[in-house]
Order: sequence, then structure tokens, then C-alpha cells
Amino acid sequence: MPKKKKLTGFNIPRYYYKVPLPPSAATDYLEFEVVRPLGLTPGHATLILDPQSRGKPGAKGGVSLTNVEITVNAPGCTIKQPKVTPALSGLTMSPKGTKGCCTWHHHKGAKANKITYHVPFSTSRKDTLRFEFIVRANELIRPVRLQTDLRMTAQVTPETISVPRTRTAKAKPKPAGKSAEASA
Amino acid sequence: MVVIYTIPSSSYNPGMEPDPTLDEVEILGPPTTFASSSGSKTANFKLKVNGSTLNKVKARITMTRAQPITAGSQSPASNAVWTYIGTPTGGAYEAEWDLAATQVMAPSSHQEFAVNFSPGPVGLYRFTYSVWAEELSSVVETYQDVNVT
Repeated sequence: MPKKKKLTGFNIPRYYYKVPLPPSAATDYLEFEVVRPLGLTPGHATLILDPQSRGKPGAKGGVSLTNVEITVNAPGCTIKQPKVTPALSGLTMSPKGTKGCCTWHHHKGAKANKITYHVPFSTSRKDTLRFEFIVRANELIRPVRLQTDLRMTAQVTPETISVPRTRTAKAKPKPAGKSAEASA
Repeated sequence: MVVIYTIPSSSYNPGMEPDPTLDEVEILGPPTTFASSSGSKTANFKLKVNGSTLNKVKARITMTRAQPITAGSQSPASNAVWTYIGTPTGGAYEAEWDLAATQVMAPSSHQEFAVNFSPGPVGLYRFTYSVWAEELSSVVETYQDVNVT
């Protein structure tokens, strides 16, 4: 199983919004993570858009994001089958097998529900890769860019060093009559 | 761990690039890892003006909805030089300081901005420290990832 990594939470600063938000309004909340592949299990990059920080203090009075564009840059990676949940109308995404980049467009959010964008990927790279999530919307002055570095080579810890379980074969007895000097 | 970020010359409006020393943003706190039960923490950074005068400065700290700012903990408090705004009302996690129109930040001056906050639930979070001034072409941002354990 790939090592589990926790999502990182991020609130979009309010100066990103074209229209000044009322003082009581919360801003949209994003969560993101990148998990490295392990063996045959693909890695994944995940972004969650939680519109207007619903259910939290000060969540009233915000704006709804429209014409949303989500881009996930996964350098040096082959993207498998991206998916978004819940299913949204007006959604387009880059096709399966796209190298290194994946983009979704949709016109409206999911009525203040969380939207999860999931990008499985594989790669043969062994160095550190810089992933980037980009969120664009009509209501934002500029794109929100979230970068995170992923070291593709796992760190070796004492727990990951395997210990041989089978007994080592016994040394064959030396043929009789041969001295140590003769066999050297 | 203090992190120093130099504002690149490309962030200034043409002709307003400080010379010879660029301005700096120095992230002072909180620590990158702390326990959710460890009590109030401080998010603070210092704007160090090295080059030329900055006008209409706006300094901001944006944490996340999980880290409410402790009421009245901001520094500087609102005064004749700085106006403080905490948003959203009722659960502020964003802090903003606006420099009065009659004031400037002169070369060799510096200002520290700070708020106390509750750590919130266990998790990873990204804080945004940002600065804007009339001399800058857009908001300058730096980030800090914190791990609440």
C-alpha cells in the first residue's frame, strides 16, 4: 500500500476575489495531497474544493464560483483515469493517458457541496517532482496556484529493511584430505 | 525556524525597483509543527524595507478556517498608522493591516505583524503571508506549511 499522506488545507485569501466579499463571508476552502506510487499501485494527486467553507463560522454571504477550471500538473507522470465526484454537468477533462497535465472545466459548482478531483498517475522518475494544482474561476482575479513537492524515492527506514526469513544453507563440508592451504 | 523571502525585482512596477537592496519578508512563526493541544500560537512576519519607500502598504496573514484568531491579539492594533481588519467576522482567520494614507514605510524601516490563534484540529495546513504596496505590481505571497499533530 502507498504511504498515506494527509490532505493540506488552504483557504483562498479574500483579495483573490474580484468583487469585495462582505466582512461576514468566508472564502472557498481547498484541500490537496499527492501520494507517490508504490509497486503496481498508482500514485494519486487529489484536490478538494469546498465552496465557501460551508458549515463553518462566517460562511454566509460568499460568492459561488462559476466557469471553474481545475488543472493538475504532474511533471514526468502518465495520468491514468481522472475522475471528479460528484458528477457535474458541463464537465470536460483531458483524456486518459495524457502525459503530465489534466484539466477540468465546468460551469457551476455542486451547490455548495464538496467537489473532489482525483488524478491517478504512474511514473518511472526517481527524483523529486513538483506538482501544481491551479484553480481558475470567473470570480477570481487570478489563478490560485498550490505547489507541492513529492520525492519519488521512498526514504529507507529500519522498518522497511527486509530481514531474510529462510535459514541460510549450511556450508558444504570440505572434501577430506584437502588442507586450508590447498584450497586457497 | 525563520524563513526569509526576498521580494524579487520583477514584483515591482517598472522604475520602482529598490536599488541596491531588495525588500524582504521574514516569516517568524508559528513553528512548522505543533500539537493541537499546545495552546495558543502566534503567526507573525516582518516586512523589512531595504530599498525605497513603500506607500499604501497592505500586510496580510491568511490561515485557514480551522485556526480562529484570538480576539484582540493582533499586533499592531489599530492606531494612527495601521488599521487592522479581521475577517470573516464571527470566526476570523484572515488578518489584514492597512497603512494610513498619510504614512509611508521608509528605507531601513521594518514592521512586524502578528496574531494569536488556536491550533485547531490535527492536520496539515498552508498559511499565506502577503504584502502589497503601491510600488508593487501585484500582491507578493509567501507560504508556510504547518503540521498540527
